[in-house]
Amino acid sequence: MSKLIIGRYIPGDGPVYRMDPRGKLLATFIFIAIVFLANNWQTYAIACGFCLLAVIATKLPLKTFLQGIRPLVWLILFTALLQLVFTTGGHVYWHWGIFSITSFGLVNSIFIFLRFLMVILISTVLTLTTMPLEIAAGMESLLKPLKYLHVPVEQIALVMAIALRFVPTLMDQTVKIMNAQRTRGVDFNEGGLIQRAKAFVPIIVPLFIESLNVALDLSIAMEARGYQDDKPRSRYRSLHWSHYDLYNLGFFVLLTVLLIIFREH
Amino acid sequence: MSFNLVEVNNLTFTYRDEKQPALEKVSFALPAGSWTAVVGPNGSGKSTLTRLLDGLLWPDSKHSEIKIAGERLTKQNVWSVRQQIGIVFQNPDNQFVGATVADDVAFGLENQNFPPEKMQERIEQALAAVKMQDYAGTEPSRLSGGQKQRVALAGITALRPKLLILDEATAMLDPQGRRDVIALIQQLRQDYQLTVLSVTHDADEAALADQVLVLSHGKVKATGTPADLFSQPDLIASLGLKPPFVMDLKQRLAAKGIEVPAEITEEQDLVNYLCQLSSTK
Ligand SMILES: Nc1ncnc2c1ncn2[C@@H]1O[C@H](COP(=O)(O)OP(=O)(O)OP(=O)(O)O)[C@@H](O)[C@H]1O
Ligand SMILES: [Mg+2]
Repeated sequence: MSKLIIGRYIPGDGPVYRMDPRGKLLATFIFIAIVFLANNWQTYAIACGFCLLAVIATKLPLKTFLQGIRPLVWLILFTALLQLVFTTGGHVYWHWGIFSITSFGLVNSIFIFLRFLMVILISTVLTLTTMPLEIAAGMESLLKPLKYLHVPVEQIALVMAIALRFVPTLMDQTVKIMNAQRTRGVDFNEGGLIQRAKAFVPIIVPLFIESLNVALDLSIAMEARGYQDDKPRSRYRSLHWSHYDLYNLGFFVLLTVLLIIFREH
Repeated sequence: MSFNLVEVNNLTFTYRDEKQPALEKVSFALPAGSWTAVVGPNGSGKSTLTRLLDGLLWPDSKHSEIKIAGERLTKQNVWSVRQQIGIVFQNPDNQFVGATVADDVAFGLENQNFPPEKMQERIEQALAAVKMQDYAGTEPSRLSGGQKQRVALAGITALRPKLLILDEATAMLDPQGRRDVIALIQQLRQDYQLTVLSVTHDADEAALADQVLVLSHGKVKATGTPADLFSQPDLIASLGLKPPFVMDLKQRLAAKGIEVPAEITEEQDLVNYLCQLSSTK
């Protein structure tokens, strides 16, 4: 669990850390969308270059990113492999039943592999350099227009922030319950799949009850501290645009332009 | 001049679908600046009382009256009255709303629509008052129970309330954490002129109060100074409380023929007195 670095924040001081979470969220979404514009060697090279620049701008060691990719490497390879054996067209290198390796397939699978890799890298840049709380605040700010459609954006954002706050607490709780069940002789690593799944019932049930208790207590505590869901609230974490965000968004606009120019029409 | 910050008259409350009222005809007053301990066995209605004072529950009938700072608590003024009250609950985790210490202190300020540009200063000041200034960016999962309760106190003092209610706020802490938090509350009480209502099972904590309110089966069974109450061993035993260490020792000494003067109520004074006693012999 501790190896999984997707969604984990690591404190640092690279330029990416100075950027506003709204800008970073936008840039991430832009990148994920425009990476589909790439369709030849030139455009993939440009996109990869930009992606590497973003990684470098975090000033985090490359090792951190490799760790982030590792759990997903099989998924990426599998997708690329499917692409490889099912794409037809071009020169045929190898053929067996419905499977074939062709020059188109080879190129396509490399492209898919790169696209996947870049999307993961860029999302990792976002989550490594932005606290979950800031991501929630950024989302809230970006989704504000939805308020006019009567979507309770602020309430949803608060729920998200509280959920994030309670993840470690419930993790601790889970460990406590598991230890309590172990002392009663439950073995979580023994037996077949069904037996193991069964062993988790005595964890899930107390955990569920505990979360309900927490929710009840918390709602009373929030009311006692003056929370009213229909009243305007001021914000401690106000978001500020800076010149770093100009660089950030400018960078992705430039990338979009380059991809449009160099892609195969 | 002392007035009553809180006046409660004839308070009766029954939970939905319950036959027995959880509180029945409870009346008492909290003089401004005083410290009142509420003691009583489990289920005697102590927590229910704190919820009613904050308008989180409502009494059965119009004949019950709760006055805070001279104003009668109604559903119309509950939000403004609530701004004058801060509650620290028993479980440190289940009242910690923010993802970091500073965010949690900010929560109450945000709810009052406090100007954002003044928030940082208020938060730093409140954290310094509870000696948590070095933890502003820390996540709650990295704090001890006592530290979380101190953050809860910072969140309350940042709002400058008049009444501080503690519902067994130290019950889940280890002895050292408990002593620290109690010492801190005494300090905050002086610095911010707080009136304190503290629900507790801890006799040593109750002994610090100016007055003690004893609840039993939803009724006020006794009121008085800690010295009064703890000199009634039968009453104390019937509540399942152990008398505070000093009082207990004094009573046992008295039983052995050593009368300790009544004005000695602190452990250190008693130690000094006993040392002096043995050296004069
Ligand atoms: N939500 C509820 N619904 C129904 N009955 C309740 C509810 N909460 C408490 N009660 C009942 O009301 C009575 C008083 O409860 P309360 O929690 O005020 O006691 P307490 O003195 O705080 O006890 P403890 O020392 O255990 O905290 C108890 O009989 C309890 O069972
Ligand atoms: Mg209680």
